[in-house]
Amino acid sequence: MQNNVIESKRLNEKVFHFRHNTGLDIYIEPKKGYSSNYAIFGTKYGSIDNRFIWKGEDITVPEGIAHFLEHKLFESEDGDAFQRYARTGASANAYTSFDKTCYLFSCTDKFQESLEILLDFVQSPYFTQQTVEKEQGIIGQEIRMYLDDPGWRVFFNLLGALYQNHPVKIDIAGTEKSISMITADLLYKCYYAFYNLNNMVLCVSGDVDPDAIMKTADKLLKPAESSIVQSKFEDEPDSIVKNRVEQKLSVSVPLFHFGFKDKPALGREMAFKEAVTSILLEIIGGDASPLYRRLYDSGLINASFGMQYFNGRSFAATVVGGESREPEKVMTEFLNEIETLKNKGIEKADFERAKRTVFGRLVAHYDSVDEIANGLSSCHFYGVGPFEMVDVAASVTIEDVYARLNEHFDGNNCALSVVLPLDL
Amino acid sequence: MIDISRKAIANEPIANGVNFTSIQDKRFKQNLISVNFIAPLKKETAAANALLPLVLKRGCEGYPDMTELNRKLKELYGARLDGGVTKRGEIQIISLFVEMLDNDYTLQNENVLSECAELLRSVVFNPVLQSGAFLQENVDIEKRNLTDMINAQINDKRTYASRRVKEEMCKNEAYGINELGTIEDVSNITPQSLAEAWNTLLQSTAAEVFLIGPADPADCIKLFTDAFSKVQRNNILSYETKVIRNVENVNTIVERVPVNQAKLVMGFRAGVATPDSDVAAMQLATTVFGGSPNAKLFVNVREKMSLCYYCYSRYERQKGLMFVESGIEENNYEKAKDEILRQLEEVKSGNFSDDELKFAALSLENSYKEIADSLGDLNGWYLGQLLSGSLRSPSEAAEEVILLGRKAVIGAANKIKLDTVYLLAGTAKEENADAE
Repeated sequence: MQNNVIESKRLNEKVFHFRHNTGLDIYIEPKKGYSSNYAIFGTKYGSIDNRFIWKGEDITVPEGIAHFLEHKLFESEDGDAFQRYARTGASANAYTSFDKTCYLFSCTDKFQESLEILLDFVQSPYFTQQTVEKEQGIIGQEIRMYLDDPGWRVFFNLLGALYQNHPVKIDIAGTEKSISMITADLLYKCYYAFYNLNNMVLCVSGDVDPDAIMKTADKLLKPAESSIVQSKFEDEPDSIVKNRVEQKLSVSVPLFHFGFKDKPALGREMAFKEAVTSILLEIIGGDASPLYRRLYDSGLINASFGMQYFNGRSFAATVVGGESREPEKVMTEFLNEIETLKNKGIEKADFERAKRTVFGRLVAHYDSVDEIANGLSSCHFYGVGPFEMVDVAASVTIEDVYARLNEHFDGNNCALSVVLPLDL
Repeated sequence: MIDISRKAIANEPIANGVNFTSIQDKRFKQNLISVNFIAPLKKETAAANALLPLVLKRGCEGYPDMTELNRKLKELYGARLDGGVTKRGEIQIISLFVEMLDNDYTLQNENVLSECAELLRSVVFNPVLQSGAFLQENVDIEKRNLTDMINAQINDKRTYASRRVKEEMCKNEAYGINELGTIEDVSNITPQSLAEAWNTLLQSTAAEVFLIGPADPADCIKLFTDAFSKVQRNNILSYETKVIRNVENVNTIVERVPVNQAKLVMGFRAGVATPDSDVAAMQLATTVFGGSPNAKLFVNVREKMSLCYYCYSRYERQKGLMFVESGIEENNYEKAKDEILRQLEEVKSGNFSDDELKFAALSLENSYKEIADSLGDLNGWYLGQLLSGSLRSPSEAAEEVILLGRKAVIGAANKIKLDTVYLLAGTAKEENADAE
């Protein structure tokens, strides 16, 4: 079994990485003296993977199936995983995102027992027509809850305006109609295609013993078939669908998101793009910027204003959002500020401050076993080292930021999404 | 597993009605300093107290301009200086805090801690004033923001429904007051009246100051002791929470806004509140009832009957209330309500297994012990402890829960009485809100 230790002297952290002989990658980042332990067992399978090639077959599945599968995996013939975790006192959960599905728990005692439960139930699928029908009611409720959520809607509507073909725009839980097409057979198909240890990762953080974890892995991991699944995406052109989308919901002040579609990346390139873009965004519209002050004091934005580089496996976009009575004006001011910076240049002091801010916030991440374990799983799936983001951020130069400023923001790759109050 | 927080916690009075609590903990890479004023929640003062942190954050002596202040914070590795108000029982807590990278992790071994502590001190004690009043522009801008925040309370339907049941249930009690104030009260605030509210905080309001993280607290304690020593403090405002244990009539309220998923929130008088001796038993009883995925509510209302996506109970220990919150389809309202009440009867009758009791205790124990790993959670926990007049660690609270038995849980559960049922449901014409 291949293993190595990755250290960061700067952060005073260490990660043990094992490539288990069943094919599973395991990462352990010990946190001495911590009370809570966190484990996450994830697969490189999310809402975007609704079309894939497996064992020679080109398969398309209903929207929302990855999320549906996540709900059902907790169930087995004689009960569910929550009942098992009840005995160890662990707090368990799971989530499906665009490009991965993760099963996790945190606990302050009986860590090995909880880990055994996690490894066991995720490797033991059990789906029947009856259990599928029952879940349709519950997930139907979840879908309706998200339909009312203005933050969720303004974001997904933006994705729909930016992306012509890419499935990142599909609602993660699907629709009530699409989930009605899900059957136990389809769930098994997706399970065996994607829940293959070669496609998965186990990440642990806390006051844990790596040897004990590896013993548990040896005991419970079942060797995986070597079949490789490949997700298939239609080509996504650089151009967007439309530059404005609007919806009315029960809100008091309009919500907005505007976004700039970008070319996706993985590995070092992804880490670099994320670090540079975060620093650049701080300079353009962070709360120490003149733009922020103008917009804030004139009442065009408030403390809910935020900016983010939204990226994952096969998609990337800069997203800016908040509440405003005049979203178009906020976007125009933002675009004007970009032009001003291109012409006038960036002050060295502004760059230094932005860089320190991004660096400082990245370091803070390592205080939380939850953020560490989730970070390790994302990093693995994206081919990024466990400490690479911090190191990359510390080495960004002002030239890097200029290059990014000039190539990323293009009037043609930008769309605005607004959620307006009902009486407007 | 070491109970680090218990070993290194120190608490001392530094002024009349002010304590400084420090927890030195080398596991963290950040430090948190917070100043929390403890005021009685009253309609006359709620809005001004809510506005204060927003206006204070806009500048201080040394950095009178908001952007200059924010620039300084960015230089200090993106230190976060923020504040706001929260409600615990009938107390309004006005907080200002700074969270920053510890000196050991800076790129050039800089003393970020002392600069951040000084900024926080200055923001609280030396704001930007003109002739003893706040600046009109600052007050106007933040009044507008606070008004928007109050209006925005409707956006998230889950928290809106939770807020509405409290307003209805406690409409004649201080607990029913919105901790952000009302739109009207906010609009009446002037730069002078806000300055008076600020003076009241410094001169007459109890305060709890915290430093949590790897740093040595000595300098910080001295800094805040000096700051408070320059203020004349007398007649510290008292605060208390009135607990009502009986219910005369159950009220049902139905409110309609265009939503896809209805929210059912039920408010109960728990009959037990701090400092009663059975608060821990009530916490455990509500956990058995609806505090985890193995509790009665999740297992029955969600899993068995598929009536909802979420269904859980929460205990508010200062005021002695319990709430059950669930997201349902309006058609299932009666079914869900009946099943929730039926499950409560099960707990009252002792119809829960030894396992159910044990699992609830384990789940509580787990959630208490995890508090030790987060700066913010430690701050929140010890603030709550000090408000109840104690200084128990999360581990000690966990130990107490483990010792409780079935009888204690049944005893506590039988004090719970239904008071108010609130349903937030959709409007008659189904707005199938699609994007254009």
